[in-house]
Amino acid sequence: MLAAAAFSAACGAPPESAPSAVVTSDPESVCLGDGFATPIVLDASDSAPRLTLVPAPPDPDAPPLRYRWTLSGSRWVLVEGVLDGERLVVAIEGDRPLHVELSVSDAEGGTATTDHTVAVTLPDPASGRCTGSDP
Amino acid sequence: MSRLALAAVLALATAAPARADAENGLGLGPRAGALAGAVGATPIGSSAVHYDPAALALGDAEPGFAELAVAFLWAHPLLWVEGVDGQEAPELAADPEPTAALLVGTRFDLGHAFGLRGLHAAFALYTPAAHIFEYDNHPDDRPQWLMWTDRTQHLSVWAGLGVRVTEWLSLGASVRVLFDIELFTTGRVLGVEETTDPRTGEMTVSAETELGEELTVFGRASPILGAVVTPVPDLSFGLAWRGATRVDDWGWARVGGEAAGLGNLGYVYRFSHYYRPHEIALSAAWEVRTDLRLSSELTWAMWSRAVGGSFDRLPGRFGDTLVPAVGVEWAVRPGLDVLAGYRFVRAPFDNLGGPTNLLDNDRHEPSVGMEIALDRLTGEDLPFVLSWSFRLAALSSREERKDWRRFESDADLTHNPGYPGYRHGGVVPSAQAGVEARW
Amino acid sequence: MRVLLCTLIVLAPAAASAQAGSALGEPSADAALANAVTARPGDTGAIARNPGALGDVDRPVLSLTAHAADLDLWFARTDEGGHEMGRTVAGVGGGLVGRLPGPDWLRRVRLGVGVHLPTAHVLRLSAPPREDRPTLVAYGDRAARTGATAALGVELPFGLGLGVGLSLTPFLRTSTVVGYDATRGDTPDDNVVIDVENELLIESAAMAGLRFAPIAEVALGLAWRGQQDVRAKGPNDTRAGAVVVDAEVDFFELFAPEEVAAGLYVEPVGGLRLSGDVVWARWSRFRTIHDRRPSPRFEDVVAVRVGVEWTPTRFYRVRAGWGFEPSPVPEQTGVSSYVDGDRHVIGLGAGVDLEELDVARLRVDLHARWHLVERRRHTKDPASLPDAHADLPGRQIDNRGYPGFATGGGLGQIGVTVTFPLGAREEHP
Repeated sequence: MLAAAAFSAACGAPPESAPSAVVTSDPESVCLGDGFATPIVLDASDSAPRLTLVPAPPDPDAPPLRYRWTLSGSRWVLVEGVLDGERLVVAIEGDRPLHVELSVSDAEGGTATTDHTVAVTLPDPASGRCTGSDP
Repeated sequence: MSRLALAAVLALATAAPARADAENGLGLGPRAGALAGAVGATPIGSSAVHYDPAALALGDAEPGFAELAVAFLWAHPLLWVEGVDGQEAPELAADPEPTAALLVGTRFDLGHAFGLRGLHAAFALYTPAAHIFEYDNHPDDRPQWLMWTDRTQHLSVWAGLGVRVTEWLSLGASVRVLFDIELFTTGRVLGVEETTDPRTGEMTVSAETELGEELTVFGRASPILGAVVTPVPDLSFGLAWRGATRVDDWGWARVGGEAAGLGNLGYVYRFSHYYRPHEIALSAAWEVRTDLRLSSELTWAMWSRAVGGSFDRLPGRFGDTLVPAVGVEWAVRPGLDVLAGYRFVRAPFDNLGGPTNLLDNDRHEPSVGMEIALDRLTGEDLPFVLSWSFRLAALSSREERKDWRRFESDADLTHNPGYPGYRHGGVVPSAQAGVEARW
Repeated sequence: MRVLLCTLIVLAPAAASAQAGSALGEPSADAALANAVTARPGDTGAIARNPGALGDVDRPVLSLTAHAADLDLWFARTDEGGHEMGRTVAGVGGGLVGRLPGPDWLRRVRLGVGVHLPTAHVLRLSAPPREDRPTLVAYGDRAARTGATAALGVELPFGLGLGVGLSLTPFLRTSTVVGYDATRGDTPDDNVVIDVENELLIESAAMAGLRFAPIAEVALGLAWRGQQDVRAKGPNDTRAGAVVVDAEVDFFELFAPEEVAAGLYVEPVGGLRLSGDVVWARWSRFRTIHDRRPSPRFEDVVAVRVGVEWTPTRFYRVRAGWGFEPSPVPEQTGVSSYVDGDRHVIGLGAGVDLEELDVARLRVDLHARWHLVERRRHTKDPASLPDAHADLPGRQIDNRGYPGFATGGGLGQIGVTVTFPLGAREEHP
């Protein structure tokens, strides 16, 4: 097949492989103007080397995934972990949401990217206090 | 599987529109249709961009000429499938919907702009009338026509050059462009709802999802090279190589989101909707008298490298084929030509009793047609050529019986949608009508 | 090598076609005149701009255009560093126009066909699952769209030309059903059962135009161009064990608004040609990528364009043009963050007629064009933003444009059109 196809040329090509990128955050929201008070755990451990339709047991021989976190939006500080680690803890100023992009790469060169946003909770109009962030 | 169930499955499988292969099954333009594709060494206008681009340089034309040809193609497959025991099952006699398509081609004297004689360029575009493409893809064990489903249902574009190097030698090259599809689907789960069936206790998790897509359509080019040798004025020989091509369709779909707690679920896919093998065509044309021309073509098609719809080697077998074709043109009077032809196409695929259920048949294809050059016929200033053709592809009846030795278990055998077997055949009438204008 | 191959791929079909109304794919002469062309004598650009002007084409003409643009727009949330939304937009196109051969009455009819193709791909449709991403309006996928147009023009007495045309737009009808059958194969991938049915239908947008030239030096033009858009619809259902995802594909993209253009053309002295257009564009019909009415909705706009062409000799000519295109996008206080602004269009160009020089039977036109997009600020209204986590107490904001943003930038483009006259020049019947 490959020999036969060598005489036609296309501008696109299928990706090498498709890992799965998953971000969870705890909490999912902080109060507006949090002022770096709340530690936010960003966790990529549910990511997987292969995208599958049903849960599949991990391959013990598979090389580890590589992670890359990109944070934008609210100003943030890194409390724990590194930006190419599986898990990190950040704190944010909280004047606006924190936009998180996680890029996961496998040993075959496949890459998957996913977005996640840590929201900000507006103060209650009546009391002027924030009541809604995650514990 | 009961006969009724088999009947239902086969009826569903064959209810999809069934159409012939555009370039070979119908012919690109009424002339190619009427001569059964035996056109590699004859002047055929812009359609030569597919059959043999060297033939773009053939024919008598004024310096600086330009042609525009438009043709309407129609085909109405009448196919049938029945259970292997010949049971009464009228619903198996699938009557697929007809198909309609448009062919637009232009050929012009490109060399005239640069003072070069005999350098002609051509472009051609084939498109179904109602859509740009229609692709279905189903698992290979689902009974389905291999060559008669969506092979005409896609846009194709050709561009080529033909040059008359000497009085006896013409060379040509062209590119055929098909279109690949890349689709990445991302589902963002907004919420999930768990329900439990009170009778079975089975739990279902339904996810409300908003989809996003990244769709890109790429061009895929395959080359066509040709030569035409004219050792004596009335005799021409052609040789053309048409590179293999296909429509490639790949991507992934993934569903996930913070609301779900599901992580990611998804799948990766790659399909091949249309496969054309490498072809080498040897052709000849002999002008027996000023009013009679004979043509012939023998095409070797390298189907042995083909893949199935799921882009994999199939348990059945693709084999190379030889396709002979002959044609005749008779000038009844100046400006009025009658054309006829015949080709035989052997089915390149055999399920061999295995798990696949891809239906394909040998076919005999007689054809007739007519060309009317209005200016020559009427003596008026009407530089138009009207033409029509009719072709009938008769599919030889074929039987497929499932062979238990080709299955890993009895369950695999009896669960196969084609078990215990079936017969299939039919006819595919097709017609074309066109007009060509010359400047 | 791949770049070369892809260029060849797109060059081939482009030559089979004509100018087709892409946002940036006009012939060089039209681009240099900032598209102030509705009343000008017709050439292949008239296929998509004003088919009523096709009556001026006196012999078959094939034109091929190639262009490349550097898009340099930026988006910056308030008090944050911005990020570029730029890219290179390149494309090829062509036009084939010919008068019908035959008797005089038939030779009054002209046919034109054309296609424009981006070089990187034939079609691209980006539909993010979230609608709050910064989204380009005039320069997104629309700037590099594939277009195909066919037009017919009739040359009538008293200097009147009428024409109609059809621009083809695709509509994707798709159905995907995915299941999981654990008995089919040895691995989870082998057990996925996919049934796909995709049909890319052809829909069309009509256009009509007229050109009235009572004398050769003065002409009026009027053109109407129908709305174009690309939609995709259909089910996308997945069943994997206990998980059921029944989703719906419902996208709306590559919007080009309905337009009415009125133009004036004058040649006050020999060799100097002036043209001007006023164009009303119905942007209020714009819909979001998920086929919803934007909030706040877009506004209709009126653009003005002027152009000048000077032909000092028969061999060459120079051109210049200016246009002002107001942005249809209102202040982005809600979910969406559309990146757009009022823009000035400046075009410059020159052409050489090699046929007049007896060098070759072709003409070459070049152009350079700039779009200057004005800087603009938007402030989000929290009351217009949805609660991001309805399951949490309080009101959660996760909008990607919050608390506001600014946009600006521009575009620079160069292009060339080569025109091949085919056949002999004819006198008008």
